Amino acid sequence: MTRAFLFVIVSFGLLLTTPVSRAVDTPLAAALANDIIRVDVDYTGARVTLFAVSSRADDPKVAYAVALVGPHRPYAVTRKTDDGKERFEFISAPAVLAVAAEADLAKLASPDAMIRAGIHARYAAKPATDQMDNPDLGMWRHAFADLKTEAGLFRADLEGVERLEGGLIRADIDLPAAAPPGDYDVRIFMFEDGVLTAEAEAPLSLKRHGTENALFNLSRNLPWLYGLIAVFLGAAVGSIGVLLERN
Amino acid sequence: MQIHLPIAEMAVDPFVIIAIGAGVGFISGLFGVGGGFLLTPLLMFAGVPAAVAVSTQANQVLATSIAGASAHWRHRAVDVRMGGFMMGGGLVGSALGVWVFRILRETGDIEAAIASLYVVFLGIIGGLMFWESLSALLKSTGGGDPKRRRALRAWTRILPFKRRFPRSGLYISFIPPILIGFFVGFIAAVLGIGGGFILAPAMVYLLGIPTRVMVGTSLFQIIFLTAFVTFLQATINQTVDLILAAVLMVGGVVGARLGAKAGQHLNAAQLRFLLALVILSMGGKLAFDLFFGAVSEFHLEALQP
Repeated sequence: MTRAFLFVIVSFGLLLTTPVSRAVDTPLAAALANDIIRVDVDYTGARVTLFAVSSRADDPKVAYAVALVGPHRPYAVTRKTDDGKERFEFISAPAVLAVAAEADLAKLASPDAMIRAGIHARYAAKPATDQMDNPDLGMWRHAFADLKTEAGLFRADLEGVERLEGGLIRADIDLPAAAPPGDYDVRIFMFEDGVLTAEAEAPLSLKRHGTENALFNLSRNLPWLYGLIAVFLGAAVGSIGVLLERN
Repeated sequence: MQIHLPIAEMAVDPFVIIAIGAGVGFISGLFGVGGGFLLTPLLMFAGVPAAVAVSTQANQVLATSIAGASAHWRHRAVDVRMGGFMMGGGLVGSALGVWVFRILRETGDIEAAIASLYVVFLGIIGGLMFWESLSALLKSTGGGDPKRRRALRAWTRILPFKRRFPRSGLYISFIPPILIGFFVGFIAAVLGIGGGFILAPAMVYLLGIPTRVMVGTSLFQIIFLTAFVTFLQATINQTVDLILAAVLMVGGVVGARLGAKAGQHLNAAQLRFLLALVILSMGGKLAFDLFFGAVSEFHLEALQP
């Protein structure tokens, strides 16, 4: 199969099956090599591969970045003070924010462009509406981003975006082993002179599977049965120890 | 290679966990202790959240306690009646401990609370073991003043509700065993340990239980206590990770057997001295991290959607 034929097939498939770019006149379409990743006990992380097609892939004036974002859930950040504790809640924030770009992201996109794209770490967490005017909002956002970065779940220094022949773009992002199961988005952005000019996205699902799924669901849905199984496991192993000692 | 822990929601190297379980199991077999007081700090150093480490460890202590109690049971060195009273107090204490554990989790204080309690606990155990082993190495006379020991036990004879404990050769009130069991049960729930290091001196010095019966009775009581704590932690706090428990147990069973064999050939006093240094070092590291380490003033908690 020739490269040209492959390009035609992939492009046609992308244009038919994926959302069209939100930009007015620059189509950018994307699709994932694998949109479902299964997490089991032996899960060690996975590589997410995104393919995109852009009519300006050969244009050196534009730059591409790809972000893995999600799943979104509420978070609380607490801070120890001399008087006790302070607590701030974000109604929605991504568990993982991993951004790969062709070059240093800060050189490709302005801070405003990154915020608009949703890939600026310090603006990833969304507070409640009545907290938008909180004078300490910047501090809490900063703390959230730092804690996530320390945990290895927020990264903006990844490489792995590559332009292929024929307008095809490939991006590889390694999913952290500690990434929680849930619904993610993989988004590709096109920047020109630091301004966001096009974007496209593809959904990714990280699903619990096999033993991991069974144990997690059991612990949440039938905790009393899970507890009995835990006690039985301990008793069984202890009994095996007794038998080994006697032998 | 890594495995994903479903309850801790993190990935760990299984060989690290097996090594931790084997190391603690080795110490357990060598000294005849549960080793729980070492397991939680080691799991925390490996990155396992404190709440999951404490809850899962109780499950592991259950396994080692069954293995340990079996030999004593065969030699009729278990005072079931005494163990029953202690267990009664222990069940109430552990239920209270699980409730306190839940509150600490909800307020975000669980990590600091567990670390602080372990600093105190390891400091006391390590210090006492250091002193005792040093005395043994220097061959000092000791063993305590008999008059002082009788005075410590006097309270058990004046309290009401006396019962006979034939296996221990005692006729004492059942209130002290219940109170001791209550305290140990509370500690077991909050710290995930069996409490053998508290039970052993309490049973000998406060209750007057003969040493030959003390170990087996202590382990007998710990079996039911840790089973109850495991069940409560899994049901109420949902912090018991079966995958982590299984991996720990694999290492623990192997390590305990090796430790028991090694203990027959090694100088016990020297080993206790070394163990005391290890315990004090771990307590020191926890204390350093707690007070002087680069601990973030901020703490992040994922909430339920």
